[in-house]
Amino acid sequence: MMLGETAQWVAFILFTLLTVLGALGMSTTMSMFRSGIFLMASFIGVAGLFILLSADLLGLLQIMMYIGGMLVMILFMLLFSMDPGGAMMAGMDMSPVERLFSRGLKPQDKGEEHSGQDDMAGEEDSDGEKPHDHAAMQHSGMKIDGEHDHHAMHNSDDQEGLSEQAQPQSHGEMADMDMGDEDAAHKPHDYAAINHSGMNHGAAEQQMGENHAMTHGDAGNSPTSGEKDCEHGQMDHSSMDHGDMDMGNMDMDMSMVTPARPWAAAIGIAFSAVLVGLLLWRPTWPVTSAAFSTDSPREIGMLLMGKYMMAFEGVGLLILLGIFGAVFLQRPGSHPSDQGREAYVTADKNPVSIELEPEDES
Amino acid sequence: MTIPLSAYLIVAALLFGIGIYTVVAQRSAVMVLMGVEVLLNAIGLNLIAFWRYVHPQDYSGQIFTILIVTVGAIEMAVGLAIMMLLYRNRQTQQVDDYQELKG
Repeated sequence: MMLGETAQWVAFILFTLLTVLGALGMSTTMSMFRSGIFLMASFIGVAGLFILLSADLLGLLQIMMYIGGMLVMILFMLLFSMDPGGAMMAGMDMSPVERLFSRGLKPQDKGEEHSGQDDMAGEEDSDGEKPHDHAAMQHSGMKIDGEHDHHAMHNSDDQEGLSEQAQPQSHGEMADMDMGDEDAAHKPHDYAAINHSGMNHGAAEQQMGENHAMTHGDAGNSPTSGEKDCEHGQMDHSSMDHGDMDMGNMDMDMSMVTPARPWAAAIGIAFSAVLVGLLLWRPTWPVTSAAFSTDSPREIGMLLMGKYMMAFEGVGLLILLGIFGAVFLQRPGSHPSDQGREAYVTADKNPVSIELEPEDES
Repeated sequence: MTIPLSAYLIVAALLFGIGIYTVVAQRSAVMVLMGVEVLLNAIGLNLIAFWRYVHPQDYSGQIFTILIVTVGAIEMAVGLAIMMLLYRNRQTQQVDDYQELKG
């Protein structure tokens, strides 16, 4: 450690902030791409802490493996998610932390969200008896849709289900939220799902009023119009069939976290508190300030080739097995359409013989 | 050595709590894997801190961290392969849809 005391503290605080805030942002932001970037910040912070702990090789390894390897894989996988940009969820129920880390997700977030909420409120006021309010709300929703169609989000289920307002703008971000509300007006089933898990767990935080408003409004709505249950219902049956966790499709789109979020936060905070409490309770380990060799890569290499050779070989074998496993899982035969292709191939072979038979007969 | 050992351990504890929250609360499988990565980072930070402050002459702590990183890489590769397979079969990434997988 060549750094002075203050420099060490400054570096430590800097990397700690980077690490912890990066992890917190990864966990709480609504955009999955953004959470990947936050995760990269957290990795860099941990690498800095490693270097500060004079484990230089591990710091470099951290950056190379985690950021160069895993994070690229993660960001690649994010492309397959429903809403990688988090545009749909941006206006949903968010705790203050989530608001902070997903700030600026879309430029007109606040205004639209308020308009959306106002619509909900209006719906609540007059919904049960005035169906033309729906029309008004649909219009507002579609307006909002048109405003930002640049956040691409392919939600084919919604497009199919809502084909009456069928639009290219169902790529929009608030589109799905507003369509969701308006759908819910027609579909008590879906709506219940939305209320149960999508919104209610945020009610404790700041949107109590609106959520209540929505609940009442749509409770008033649901008896009047239950005609379109089938559209969404049949799409989601595959995912709804298991017990009490039946989430509608809309709900799945709308919130990125499970309804168990408060419990999860409690568990996380409890773990941290218990660990920190234990640390503060027994803070003294036999800390030595003995001098150590600064040639850590050489030492590590000697250990890997000597004392820990079996572990090294075992991990190498694990890597090989992991590669084989990944390739095996991704083998072409496991694709659903491949069975169709095989059937096609066999059907392609058989007609040849069938065609040959008539020729033989003739 | 001016920074106490407990400071690093507290940072690791915070990381661990955040990772547990992520694993439990997130709905997308990729986010769950990210939470697992944060958990592994917390463990590695703990190991390195203890190595540096308790046994700096013995490099076994760094060996353990290297093994953890490697196993994390394998876990990520296989986990993403499984997720890709599930995505191709179910067309979704939400772990709620994978409930039939439970024995």
